[in-house]
Amino acid sequence: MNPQGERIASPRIPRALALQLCAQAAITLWPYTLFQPWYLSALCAVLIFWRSALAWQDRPAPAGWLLMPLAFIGLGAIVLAYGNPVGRLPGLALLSLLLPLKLLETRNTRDVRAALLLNFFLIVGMFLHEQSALIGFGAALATVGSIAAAARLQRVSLPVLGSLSQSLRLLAQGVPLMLALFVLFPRVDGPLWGLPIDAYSAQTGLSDHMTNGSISQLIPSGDIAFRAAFHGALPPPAERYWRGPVLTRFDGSDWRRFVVPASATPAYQAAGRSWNYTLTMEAHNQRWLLALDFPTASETGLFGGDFALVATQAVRKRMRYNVQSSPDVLVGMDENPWVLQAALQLPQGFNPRAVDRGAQIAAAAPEPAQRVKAAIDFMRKDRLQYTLSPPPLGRDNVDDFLFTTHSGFCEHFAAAFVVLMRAAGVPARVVTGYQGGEFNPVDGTLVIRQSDAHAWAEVWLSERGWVRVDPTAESFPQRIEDGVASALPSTDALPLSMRNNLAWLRALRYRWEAIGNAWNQWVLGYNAQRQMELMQRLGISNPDWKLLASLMASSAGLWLLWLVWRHFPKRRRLDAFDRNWQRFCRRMARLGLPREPWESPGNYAKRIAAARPQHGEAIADIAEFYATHRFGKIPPTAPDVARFAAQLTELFNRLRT
Amino acid sequence: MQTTRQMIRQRLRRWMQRVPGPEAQPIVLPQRRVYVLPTTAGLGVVVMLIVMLLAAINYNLSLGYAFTFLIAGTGVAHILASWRNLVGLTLSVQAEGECFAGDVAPFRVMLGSRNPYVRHAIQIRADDGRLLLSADTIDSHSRYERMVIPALRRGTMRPGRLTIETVFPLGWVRAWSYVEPDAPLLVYPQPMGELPMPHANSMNAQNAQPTRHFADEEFAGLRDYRSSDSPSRVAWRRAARDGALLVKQFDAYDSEDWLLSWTQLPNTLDTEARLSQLTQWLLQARAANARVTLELPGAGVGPAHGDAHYRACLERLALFGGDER
Repeated sequence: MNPQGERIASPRIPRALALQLCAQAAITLWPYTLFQPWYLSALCAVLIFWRSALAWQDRPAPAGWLLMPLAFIGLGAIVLAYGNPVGRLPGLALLSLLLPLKLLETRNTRDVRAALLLNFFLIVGMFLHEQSALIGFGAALATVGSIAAAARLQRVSLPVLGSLSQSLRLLAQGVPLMLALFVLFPRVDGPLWGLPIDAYSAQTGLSDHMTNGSISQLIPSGDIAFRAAFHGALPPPAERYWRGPVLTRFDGSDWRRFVVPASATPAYQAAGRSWNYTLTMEAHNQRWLLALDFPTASETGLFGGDFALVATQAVRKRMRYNVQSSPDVLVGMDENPWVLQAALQLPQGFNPRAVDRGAQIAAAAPEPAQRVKAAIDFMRKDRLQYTLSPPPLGRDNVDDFLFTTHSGFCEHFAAAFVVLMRAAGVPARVVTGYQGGEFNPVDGTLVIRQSDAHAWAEVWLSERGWVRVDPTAESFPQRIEDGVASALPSTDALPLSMRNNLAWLRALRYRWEAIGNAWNQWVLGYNAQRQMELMQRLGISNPDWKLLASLMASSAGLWLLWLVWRHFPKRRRLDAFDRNWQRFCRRMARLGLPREPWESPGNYAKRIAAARPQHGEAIADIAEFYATHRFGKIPPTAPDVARFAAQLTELFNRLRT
Repeated sequence: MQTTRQMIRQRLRRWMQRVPGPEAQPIVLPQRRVYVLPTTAGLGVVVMLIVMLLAAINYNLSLGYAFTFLIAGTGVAHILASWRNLVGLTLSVQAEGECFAGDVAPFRVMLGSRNPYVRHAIQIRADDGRLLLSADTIDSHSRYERMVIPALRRGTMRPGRLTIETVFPLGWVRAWSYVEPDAPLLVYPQPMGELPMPHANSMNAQNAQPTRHFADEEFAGLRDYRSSDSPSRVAWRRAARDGALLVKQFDAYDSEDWLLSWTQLPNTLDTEARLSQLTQWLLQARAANARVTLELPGAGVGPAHGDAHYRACLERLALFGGDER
């Protein structure tokens, strides 16, 4: 639209602008250092530093041919880091290298514009990786800076602070539109087209099988697995068993799931106490949903045959669902025979001593309930050690744990107990999930971390169905009452998030995580469902996209009106002041002394005074009064305007005679 | 096809200008005369926002939505800010000093703001897109800026249609307006020619060098410097003392009486060359403050001397053959 726009493009961009662009690149790129390999970040940093050093010395950008090898080095580093230059992370890395390279070859305003567009793409690109409150804050800073750099490009005489305030002023005018559109823009569930294969690779959590160490490796992670907001009372710590994958098949080293068909309603009736809560699950790229034992109602997901809640597809983004659980309900009273059969299988030739011990227990106690008690007693009597870093176990890992090393983590306790029970003829299986949770007093939610991962056991008794037995809790009750940290020996290194003794740190963490939760619930988790809820709360019972579009158009229209009103030239008191002066000038023109368009009030007054020297002093006074209020910092008040008008009329009358 | 497009463009331009010829000064830009359209950079931002919105929908990026809407809102605010940057701007153009064809016309623009609104980064361009002036800050204190417009031909000249534009604050949107200030400037013919100075009382060509008469002249006073004055006549000592460039004037009308006549010029010269030669002689005479008679076909002035007379002669030369040629 502007054929002449670039014609004045100077061959070299000013030093101040080049330095601001370098600083801006650093601000935009810092979140990338949080997840990129260090050498990619270092390469970016070196390139930016080089460019700013050149700008500082007021030297031009380096020759273009020099950039080719640099680009190849960058590409090599990306392939080294990700093994492949295509995909989400390599793509972001490529974009992050492109900005410093572009800055190095930035010579004219067109290059600066390209660099600014790259800045914007990098800000949004970061969201593909992470959208935490911290990243959002960083993006806001980068946006203010980028807009400021764009303003600086138009007016290099603007100081840095001036450009920042200009940027804030412009962005502030855009904020109301952003809020309105954010709330009202119709949200779509699911992608418009396919996502890259590696889109969800960065997610951790429970796995669908259990080997030695698969639970304990989660313990050092302070990452939040999910949050639960209870409507009503909180369950006591001893009943906070969050059921995840149930593992039945055992091949000697691995515990795997035995797939039981799921149904839309649970196979049992709610009874006794119940807990209602809303669970916000972090994405884990698996199908299971977590719920307290035993879920009796939920609008999301299916009820598995092993009493776990499952989603219809893998949880690839943060998910919110309401659940009702009843802890006292009896489940599996009429369990399928093949499920019980699978819960008795033991691999041939593994753990002979444990199998032997199970047979002894069976021989000593005819009742299954007695056998369970005997096995618990056996494990407690054996003085087992509870530790995060157990010594390595051999092929017969249950035998090694029970009879040789005597130390293990919850997964070892659960596995050993289940093997003993099966050997004793009692159907048993391993349940993995989370146990416990930390109450955040700031926002009243229960936060469950990866470090709360746990494994326990379940046995089937003909008169009671499936019954939970937690061998870890039986041996180390404080694990359940006070958390992992209190049950572990003090020699075990613990992650920061699990240390109990730093009260202030804990308070700070609660606050930060409450912010994170609110951010997740209302900013990141604002999806089609939340939009619907909000509209219903506002009294719109059935919001469809047409209604949303008209709401959007009207709020954008209101915003535009506000913006136009803000910018529209307004009639002010000053205009009344000016009108008087102009009327005086017109009257003087009739007397043969017109004001020339280029004459300032002072000059004009001098000329009139020269023509009519007897009134010189009065004229000079009036001109000074006018200039003070018209151009000075003091705007005229209403009495000022009235007095000025009277003075002008009087002067004119005196001049006329 | 090409011609209809040109015609449409011309119509559009005429409609947008909506001012029939030179306007009375000072010109205040009203709201309806300021136009706004996105620049290439602005269109780039629009494309970027569309891409970002699609990405936000596809990947369900809440912050992507927020960023896209924020930048879109900022862009709309930019439209109004650019528009506001021009509305209420006052402008008047004056020609100051004399100008000969081939010189830069001494047009100066007085820019100001009708209200206490401070304006930034405003540019004035000629019709062909040449940048004439670039003003960084304009507030209610009016200020003068020079405009670089070449004076190509003698006769009455106006600055023509000017485009006042701004892409401030972000360069995504261009606001502009057309003005055609009524600031006439009489451009004198270009002083040029090799012929020796003719004398009214002695037709001897050898005595034609005006410098020859310096010795006979009497010092008569000082006057303001003009660009056509010879440096040898500047009162340098005075200039060194108080910085004012003044020129020594000499009374020489006792010694010489010059006749600058159209008819004396050789027939090989065309009209413009003759006018240029006459102008050259006239400037030499002015430098010597000599009595001059100017004879053009159909009219003659002089003999006389003094600034008013020289100006009258130059005006006749500039307007020879009618102003509209």
